[in-house]
Parts: sequence; structure tokens; C-alpha cells
Amino acid sequence: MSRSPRGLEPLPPDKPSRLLLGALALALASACQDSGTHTTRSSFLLTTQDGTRVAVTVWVPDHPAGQTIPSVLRLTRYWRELAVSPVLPALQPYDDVGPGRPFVDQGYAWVSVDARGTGASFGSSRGPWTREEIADYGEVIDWVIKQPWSNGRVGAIGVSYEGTAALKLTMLHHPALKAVVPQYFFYDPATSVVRPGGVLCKDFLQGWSDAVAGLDRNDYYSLCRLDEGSVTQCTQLRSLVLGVSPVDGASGQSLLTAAVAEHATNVNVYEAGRASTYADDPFATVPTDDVGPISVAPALATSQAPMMTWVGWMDSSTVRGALQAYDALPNVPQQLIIGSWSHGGFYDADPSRADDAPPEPTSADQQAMALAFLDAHLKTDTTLGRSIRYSTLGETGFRETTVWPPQGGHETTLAFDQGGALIDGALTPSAGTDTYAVDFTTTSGVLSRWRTPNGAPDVAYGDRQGADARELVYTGAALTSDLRLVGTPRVELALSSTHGDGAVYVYLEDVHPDGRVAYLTEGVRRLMYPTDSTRRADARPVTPGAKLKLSISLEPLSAIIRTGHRLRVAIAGHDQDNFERLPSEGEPVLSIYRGPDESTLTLPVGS
Amino acid sequence: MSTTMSLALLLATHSALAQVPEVAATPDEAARLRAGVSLATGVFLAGATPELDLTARAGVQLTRRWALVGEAGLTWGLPKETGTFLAYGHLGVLAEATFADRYFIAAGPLVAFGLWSAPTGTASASAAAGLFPGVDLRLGAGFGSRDDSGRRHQFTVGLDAKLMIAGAAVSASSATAPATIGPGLGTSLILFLGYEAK
Repeated sequence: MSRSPRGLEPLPPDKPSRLLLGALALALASACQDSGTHTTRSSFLLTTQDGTRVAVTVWVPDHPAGQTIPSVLRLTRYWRELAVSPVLPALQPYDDVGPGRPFVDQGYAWVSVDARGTGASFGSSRGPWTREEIADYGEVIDWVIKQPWSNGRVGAIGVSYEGTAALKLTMLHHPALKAVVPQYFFYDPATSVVRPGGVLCKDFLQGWSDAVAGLDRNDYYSLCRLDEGSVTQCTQLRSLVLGVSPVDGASGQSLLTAAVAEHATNVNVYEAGRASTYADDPFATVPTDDVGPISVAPALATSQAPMMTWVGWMDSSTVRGALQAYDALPNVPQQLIIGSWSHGGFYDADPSRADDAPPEPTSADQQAMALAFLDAHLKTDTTLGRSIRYSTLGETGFRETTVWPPQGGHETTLAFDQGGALIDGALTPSAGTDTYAVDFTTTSGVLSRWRTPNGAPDVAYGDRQGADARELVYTGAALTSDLRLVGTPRVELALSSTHGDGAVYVYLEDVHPDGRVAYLTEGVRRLMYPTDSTRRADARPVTPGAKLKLSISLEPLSAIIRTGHRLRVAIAGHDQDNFERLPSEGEPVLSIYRGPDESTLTLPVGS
Repeated sequence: MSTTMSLALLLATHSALAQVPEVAATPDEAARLRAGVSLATGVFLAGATPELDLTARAGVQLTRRWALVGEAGLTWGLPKETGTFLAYGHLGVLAEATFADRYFIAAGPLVAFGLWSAPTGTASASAAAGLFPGVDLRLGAGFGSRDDSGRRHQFTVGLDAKLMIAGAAVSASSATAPATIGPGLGTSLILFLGYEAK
């Protein structure tokens, strides 16, 4: 749930000339920095119906007298606006409109809101995207459309937390809300990022929890340190970034102090996530029917607001969630775009390309596409239809479909065989078991799909030959023609464990002719869940030594595997840089069953 | 005897010993405008950051001895690692006394605007940004001649010390402790070379 206020990097040591220019032209600096449309800014506390005061900052671009304009909302728990030292604009270009700049330049009022319990807003946060938080946003819309500059048409856009808030906002059915653009959002956060497959994604959750706690204390230094900034870097940044911006007025600073004091009772996100073992457990005091957009799907499904949704193949489990939303909201016009990106779309994450390859399209172009979508719905009465545009790992460009998986495909099954082979499912694999002593040093790395939501770094698995040496692998024959996979691979895993708790991590990999191993996708599963459902009622006790059958849906993908390459399934029992250790103690040994009707891999083959 | 007078006597003694051309003694002239510029190098004590400074000054030479000088300068650091940064502009007003037409001492208030940021240990650092009030102290000697009007044209060399106070300096004392925000002191010590027409 990427969180860093963007556009601020520690000043490199080779930029003293910036200050030279800045100090000489100090009086002109603030005017020179803003090359876009001039705006009128105001920031205030909006008192909502339950008495909570929510901080709002509005930038209204200059527009002809008598003309009204549409508005775009940013609903955030990452500070609606930064308070910065007056030195900063002298050192580097700084625009207080921040991510709203493209929108005000296109004639939108940009409305940035601190979620209750965060930023300069009062109140306490019981959890992410609660009903009361979403209700606040509805009241912000009420306020916006009463303004003399408003044309009564409102949109919402955001990445990660903010995108999820934009999606959940549609549950209000507010007539002024004409379109939303949720980007890299979490339709089902409980299973897509908190406990994929029922296993606690502890490194993400702990990192995010600590980060938002720092934000809620108005502590930019701590946030910087969590982002692995050095002590020196972070002291520098803290001297330039004072924290969240107080609202306007002489009492703004004291109001901010009072608001931050109320945040002390915010939920500890990590502890709440750790305690909610099952997908249908409450999140601390937030009930099951109020956690994530999926919990209010019926209300979302009757929304009239068209959506343009963005997700990345390598971004935690957001694609799975976005595809769920596409299906669960069949009457909502949706333009779903799936790219080969990490969280936020800032990095290309296609393992077939260089780690430093730019995203396609670029972040700026992604934003331009989102803006065009909002233009269509907020400046005209256009309603675009439903479609899914998706990229493919291993090739350039996007394909388009209206259904998922795309029509024309079929499934093919491969079976686990002796000697670590993966053979055609039509053949009969030899019966037996392969044992695997769980190696708790196994990891998918710190640049994994599970880490990217926390600060949105790149995703890069690199060559997995080393990882595979610590895992149990089954490798297929070299392909005689290119193989296109589009959809959700599935592994039926028959196994037993020496322990009553545990997890399996199933990786689908592309073995190159030269031996390099590229990550394609994976599935995570706590042994107590036979199917993809991790709800309490679907859990089953695990008896040591007893045979289990797990049906594991891997994360969806679209990828092309080239002729001469081989597919591989690699099985691990832990991912130490990303997930909790299961069991917490002990050294389990897994036995994987192979033979007729035992362990298989089913692939979605595209046309 | 005041410290200033003691220093003046000391400087005068040194002047008498120095084997340099004597400047013809003339009575104090009328007040006149004066100007100068200096380039300096030294160290900023928060993090011992090497620094360069360019300062211009202009003012009024009130008497042969006394002057009131305004100065404006830019100081920038030569940091060695990411996160270290030093750059500030400074404005000051100094009262200057010149002795034996050669030695001068100046002091006065200044205000600086900029950023300093540097490690202060292996896992500690300090940084401050904004306006820094402070004081400036200059001490040096000029070498050159007087023209017919009594104006001195001199190349100068000397020491400059600036003490600047940051109201909200950020300090971190270890890798794990939170940062503290509070008053901080920045000190610049530089050796300057310049030219003055005064």
C-alpha cells in the first residue's frame, strides 16, 4: 500500500548549485517552480455527521468567471499535503499540488482528504476503509458540489490505499460521483496481501503497520528510516519535510497537534492482521462485512459509477482481486488494465526484460490514460464499456478481452513424475512419494511481489537456480513450440507433513535453455486449507502423516514460454523474507505424492 | 582596558614590525562608500564538512577607522556521502574597525537561509533547514595602498567565523532512536582571500 510522499529524495551531494541558484533567486523561487496552471488553495476541517473533523485541501485552478469545473478526489491515509521547509523550493522544484498537478492543469479541482484518524484529520482509525471513513468521503463530495466553482461532477483516483478507497466510495451510490480510477488496489485485502493462502504476509504487514503508525504520529523521520533511508539521509529529509500540512489559519498548528493526539488510539494494523487468522475474522473491531471492497460487493455491484482499474501482474495478489471485481460487478462499466508492473506501475517487472527496463506504458502515460478516462466521464456523458486490456510477460503490447480468461483457450494438465519430471497428464506417472525437508532459509527475496505494496519498490526475482536448489522441483520437457499461458494455473497437490501445521509455496518457473530460471507466478497455501477459501468454515485439521489434497490456484498470469524452454514447478515450505514461519517451531518433512490422480499442474493455455 | 583596545594595540605593534611599504598617514577623510568581495574555504563544524564561500560586501566607511558594512554571501559544502548537504545564503551587517590601515576586525548579526545536514558520528546525524539567525566575526589584514582620496585598495586575508542558530534542528543519536527536534548550532570557520576598496 505504497505510502511515501513522492517526489522527495535525499539531495545528492553534487547539487550545491541548486542552492546557489535558489538562494540568489529566493524571492522568485516559489513563483518559478510552478509552471502549470495557477491555483487557489484552501485547507480546512470539515465536520462530518458524527462530529469528526476531517482535513481537506482543495486546489481550484483558475477558470473563466461564471464557468464551473469538475473535481477529482484523492482519499488518503498518507497525508493529503506535506508541510515543507521554505528551503525546499529553493533546492529543488517543488509543487504543493503534488500528484494533483496533472488534474488541475486539465481544469479539475483537486480535493485531497486525510482519512479520519490520519494526517491532520481528527478521530481514530479502527482499520482501513471502514464504513465511517467512506461515509466521510461522501460528505466531502456533498461539500464539493455545493461550491460555486463546482459543476456537480466528481471523480476519485488513487494508487493502493487510495485506489481501494476510491473503489469502496462507489458503495455510497452518490449521484455526483461519475467515475473512479482505482489503481493497484486491493479488492480483497485479507487474502491478497494480509494472508495470501492463509499465511501471514508478515514482512509487508509489519512494515506497513510501522509506517502508517509513524505517519499517524506525524513522524516523517521514522517513515524515512523504515524506507531504509540512512540516519543522515533521514535527518536531512526531516529538516525539509516538516510533516503533514496543518489546515489554514492561526490555529492550524494547534489543531494539528490535537488531531495527532487522537490518532494514538488507532488500531495497530500488524497486531490486528496477525490476530485475524481466517479470512472472515474481524479485523480488530472491524466486522467481517466491513473489511475491504469485497465485503460490500453487493453495494458496489449496483453502483452507476464507471471504473478504470489498474493492476500489475507482479503486484502481490491484486490481479486476482481485480479479476474477482470484474466478475463480481458485472453491471458496472469497467476498464481493467493489467500490466507487467510492480505495485503502483512505477517499475516494469517482466522477468524476461532487464531489471531496469522502463514500464510500458510509462507512469506518466498511465496517468494520461487515467486522465482521459476521467475526461470522458466528468467532462462529457460518455460511458465506456467493459474490457480487460492485459500485457503478457515475455512480449510487448497489450491484448484485449471482455471475459476472463479470454475465449479460445483451453487447459492442459501435467503430472508430477519420478525423478523430478513433469510429464504430459495423458501419460501415467509412476506412483510414489518425494520427500522434502523444509528449508527455512528458502526465500523469494526482498524484491518479491509480496513486498512491492509496501513503498512500491521494483519486483525482481532474478535467476532462481539458487532457490531451486533448496526446493523440490519438477521440470517438464523442452517445449517444441511457443506456449502462451493466460489465466490461472492450478496445482493439485497431494502431500503429507510430519507436523500439524505448515505451508507450501508453489512456484511456476521458466527454465531457459542456458539453465537460467525465471519466476512466472506462485501460489501460497497454509496446509489447513484444502481449497482457495481461507474462511474459518473451510479450514481442516492437519494430522501429521495423513495425506492431504490441496487445490492451489496460483496467481493469474499471461506469459509466453518460448520454444526450447521448459516449465518447472518448485515447491518450498517457507519464504523467510515474506511470510510467517509455519509451524513456528519444528522441522517438518513434506511428502509429495505422485502417480495417477495425485499431484498435477493444470495450465491455462491461451490462443 | 577593553578587549578591542588590547587587540588594536597588538595589531598596531605587529604593523610596526612588518617590513611593508608604509601608507602615508592622512587625517580621517569624509564618509565614503566602500565595497569588496572575498572567496573563502573552511569547514562547517556540523559534520566537519568542507565548504566554500563567496561573499560580497558594501557599506559606508564612516571614518578612517570605522565602517558599517553589509554583506551577502553564499556558502556551499563539498559533502562526501549521500544525505550530507550544506548550502546556505547569508546576509549580515557588520561594524568594522581598521587599525594602522591594515588590520581589521568586524562583527555583527547575520541571518542565513539554507540547509545543513551531515553525520555527526557513525550512526548519528544532524540537519537543519530554514532561517538561521546568528553572528559573524571577521578578522584579517589588508595589503595595498591608499589613493589620493584616502581610499584604501587592498587585497585581504583573514579568518571568518559564523555562529548560526537553528530553531528546529533535527538530531538523531543512534540508528534506532527517534529523531529529536530542537535548537541547534551551526558553526562555520573559513579562511578568506579578498579585495576591498574602502
